[in-house]
Amino acid sequence: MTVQTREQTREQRQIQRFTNRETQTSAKYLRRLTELTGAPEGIEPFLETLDRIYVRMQGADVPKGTRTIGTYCVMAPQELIYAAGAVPVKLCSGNYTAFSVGDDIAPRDACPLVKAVAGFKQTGLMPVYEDCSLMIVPITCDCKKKIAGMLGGSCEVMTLHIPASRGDSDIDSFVSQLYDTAERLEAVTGQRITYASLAESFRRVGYAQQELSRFIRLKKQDPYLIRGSHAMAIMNAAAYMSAEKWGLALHKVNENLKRRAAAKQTVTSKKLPRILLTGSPIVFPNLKIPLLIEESGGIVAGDETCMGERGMWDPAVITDNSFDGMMRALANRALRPCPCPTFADNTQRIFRLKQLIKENKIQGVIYHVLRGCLVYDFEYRRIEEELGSLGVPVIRLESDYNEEDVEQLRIRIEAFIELIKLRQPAEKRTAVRSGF
Amino acid sequence: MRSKRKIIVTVLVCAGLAALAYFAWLLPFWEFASSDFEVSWDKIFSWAYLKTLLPLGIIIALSAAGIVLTVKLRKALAKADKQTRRFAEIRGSRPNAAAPKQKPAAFMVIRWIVMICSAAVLIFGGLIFGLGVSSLSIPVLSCPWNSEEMTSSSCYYLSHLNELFELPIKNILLFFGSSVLFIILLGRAICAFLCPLGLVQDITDRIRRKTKTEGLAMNDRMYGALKPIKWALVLIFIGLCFAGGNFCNFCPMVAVAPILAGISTSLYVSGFLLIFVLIGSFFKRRLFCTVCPLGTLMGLFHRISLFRVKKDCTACTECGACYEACPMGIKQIYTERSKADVTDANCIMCGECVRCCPEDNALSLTFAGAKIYTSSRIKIMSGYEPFTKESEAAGYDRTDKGTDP
Amino acid sequence: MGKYYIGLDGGSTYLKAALIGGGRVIDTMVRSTGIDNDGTARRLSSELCSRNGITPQEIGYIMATGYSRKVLEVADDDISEITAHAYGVRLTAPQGYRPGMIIDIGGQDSKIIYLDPNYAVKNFTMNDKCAAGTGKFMEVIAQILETTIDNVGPLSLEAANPCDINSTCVVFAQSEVISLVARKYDRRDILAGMHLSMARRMIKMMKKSEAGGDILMTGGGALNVGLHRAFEEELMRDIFVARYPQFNGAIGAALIASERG
Repeated sequence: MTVQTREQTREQRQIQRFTNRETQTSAKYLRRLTELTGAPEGIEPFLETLDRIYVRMQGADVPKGTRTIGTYCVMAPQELIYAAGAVPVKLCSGNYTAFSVGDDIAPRDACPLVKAVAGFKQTGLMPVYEDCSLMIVPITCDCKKKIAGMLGGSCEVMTLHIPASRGDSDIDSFVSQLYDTAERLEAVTGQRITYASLAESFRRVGYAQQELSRFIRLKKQDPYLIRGSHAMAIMNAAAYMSAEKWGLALHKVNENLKRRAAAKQTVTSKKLPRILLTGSPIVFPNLKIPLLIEESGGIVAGDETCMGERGMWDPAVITDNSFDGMMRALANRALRPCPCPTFADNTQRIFRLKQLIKENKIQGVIYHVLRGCLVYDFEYRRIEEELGSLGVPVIRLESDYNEEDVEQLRIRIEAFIELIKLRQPAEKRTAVRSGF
Repeated sequence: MRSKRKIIVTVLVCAGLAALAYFAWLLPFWEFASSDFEVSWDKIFSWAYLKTLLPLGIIIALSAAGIVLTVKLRKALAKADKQTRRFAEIRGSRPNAAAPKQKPAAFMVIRWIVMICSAAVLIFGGLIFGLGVSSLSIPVLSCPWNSEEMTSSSCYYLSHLNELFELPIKNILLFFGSSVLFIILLGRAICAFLCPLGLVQDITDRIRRKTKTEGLAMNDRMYGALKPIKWALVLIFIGLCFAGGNFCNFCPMVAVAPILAGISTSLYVSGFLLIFVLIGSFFKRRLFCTVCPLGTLMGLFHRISLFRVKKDCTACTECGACYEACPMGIKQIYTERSKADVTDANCIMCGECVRCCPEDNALSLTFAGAKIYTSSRIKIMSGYEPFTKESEAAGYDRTDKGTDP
Repeated sequence: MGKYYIGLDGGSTYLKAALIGGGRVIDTMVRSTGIDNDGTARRLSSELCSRNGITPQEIGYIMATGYSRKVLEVADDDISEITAHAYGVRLTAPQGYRPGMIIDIGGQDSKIIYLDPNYAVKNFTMNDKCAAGTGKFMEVIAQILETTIDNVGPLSLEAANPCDINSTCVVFAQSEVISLVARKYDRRDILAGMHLSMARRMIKMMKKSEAGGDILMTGGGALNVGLHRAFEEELMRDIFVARYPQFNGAIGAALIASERG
């Protein structure tokens, strides 16, 4: 009798410990975001969502009875999920606590994102993961492949095979995969995907994308109207909100930013070095790098990451308005403009970076690699060479999901920002010195 | 071996086309007992006109039947295949909802207006204006059998070169001069703006889009298969006269222009071919233009025409929408990564690529260096406005479009 | 405006100051940091001035670097050590050095900085997690062998058969050295082995593909001839040694200051 009760309370203690650590870390980063000056008016719904998911540990805010479908990549088409009457949630994880649990389960060299997912699966405590009726996992790397297998143990999983190139036959085969996905979604939600529901979901996601385009246009104005860390939190929150809610909340933020622009209310007045962040995804609460950059006197003027600007940038362009045409539009959008290093030839990413550098007047690029993320790491050399020939400095920052490397990162980021500052003409001292 | 089989099939198809063209006069579609070349407004507003229109009416009816049959056949095939069964019904039936659509661009509106006016002028010009400028030859397929066309179309003499060279030197020079002038000035924009057969194809495509019927998505292999047919048709077009045949018995435009103007023209293979053109261009926009011999000849001059397609390769995200949208299947607009000028020999300047491009300034059409149509993200996004009750309940105000910075 | 500039390098044990003018190093000074970093810095600055007959008004700008750079209020601004060291070598590198790599061996940390041909920092690696490869390592071993840190270099050059010291961790290396001493190994051989171990440890941190140009040693460890020799042997090439190696950071800070005054 006594032994049984002890087991129970030990389990309860474990749960309590995990919950404590997880909520405290997430709350800490939320606090850092709110304490960072210059937050735009209207950011509350986004921070509230992150608070809801990670601090209060409730599920995604969807109407009662609506199912949520977990996705693990931007290549899983949201529009299909909405058309089937469900809401997608992007479950790529940035959680330090889950990572430390998953570190024992996944191999040492696996990337922290996947370790954190494994950690959440193991503890089974995160509603946003547990509530999902189906998990769609595009196989973009080996780690994703194996985590899909792991997740299958406790939840329904569907894998999407992502081809290594983007030729016409690859698109055709991806279209047929999307049809299979649609069928699976219908089975899970019990709702048929009709022409009307698909067209409506294009509108919903398209509206969110429209607001995102406006947001990105506003946020790259110099002097800056919003800090990159706040922007990253807003874009991250899209993973847990329905496209409409997110789009509507972002609409209000955009209106506020326009007011700021008109009133010349900027968050920075000095000429801060403009940094572009690219590479492995930056997922809440792992916001240490954008926060470090902005605390060290730089500004994240743009990012090329899939949980940031790139997440919903490319619209699905309908060239043929039949049902099949809309499916083709989804397949094209998922694969062709996606500069993910999962593709063998990813030269187009260099063009994207060059376009961002030109438009946002970027002075330095920070290439973020999660430890174990080989595909992004592979591309570093070539990008360093190409951007070097443009005269743009690039540094590689490798990071893991713990807070031990914060000082190391800080030193590197500071040195990088100084490097950029020194390239600009210096401000001279004019005051006369009287003594020491 | 697959490639050996491909070669044999290609050769057979081209030979078949050549044979059809040569023996066209042996395969009547509709023969008038007596040809009536008299044209007047009175005739057009009389019962006799309907008699003249009969073959065209039959062609349209047969084409419509063919289209409906094809749609039903596709649906049945899709239902039979286990993989495609589930969505076969949705794909094959006519929906009552609307997909998001961009607001129409000025370029497109102008293009339609020009196309309609040009067709009116080329088909009824003589009737409307009472004069003809026959020394001016536009390289379009608008059928010189139609005596009411306002200008000449180069198609007759180009397909009957033996007759051309019997004319006095002045006429020959005038012919080539005006044709080449048009080609240099407008290039294959003539195809998208002036050609009446182009208008016919665009109308069928419009009908398809209105009914939201599924088209035929072609990939680079299929476009590649059309190439030999295209060159075979060029050979037939130029060479048939020297072999003793008459291209006009073969050309589908014969079934449209003279008949609409009220001239009873007997149709041979041209009638059958028009049915194929109508059905084909319903499912694949501008299908005939991909194999049109006159267009191909014009395309040879694409490097010197004043209409050009320009690309900003850095702004391009390689989304491939331009390639999917292009009726001619030109892939280099999408894949080009260094050159700024992506004008292709097949490009008819329809502007569809620019319309579907979601990146600002990535693609533009220029005339003599000036941009006349540029891609814009705001334009693409102009079709996305949520109409659900949830969004209205959540406070989305449809009148508050938000201004763009 | 003043023609002289001061650079301050606030380390954990020593605070170093450099005075430059007219693009050359005029004077350098070092003092124990003590508890009051700022006070020590002020005293250093005023001594530098008085020693060289300069008034405070002639000092155009004071730049601080090092661990304690942010608390040195006497300075007008601060800059990170990486940047300061990279700048410093512009003045301290000997003739013929083509910018490539800098190996900085400090008291409690070590860094490798990669420069491009214009002395701009391309990349760097730092070891500040443990004492391996730093002056601390040498101090501890010197103590066991009953000698001083200034002697370890010359002594190790006399070694006939360098020992293998396998532990890179200071604590384990201590035990290893003690057992070597007990087995009656010559302390010169042990010292030579220590230098080789340090060099190998640093070389593991290097990305040789990033290194174009020549290699330069700075920091207190650069004064150690034994360490210099160990690097040359392990990398099989000539290694340059900076002039004023312990003051490289302060000199670099002063050079950056000269752009601001």
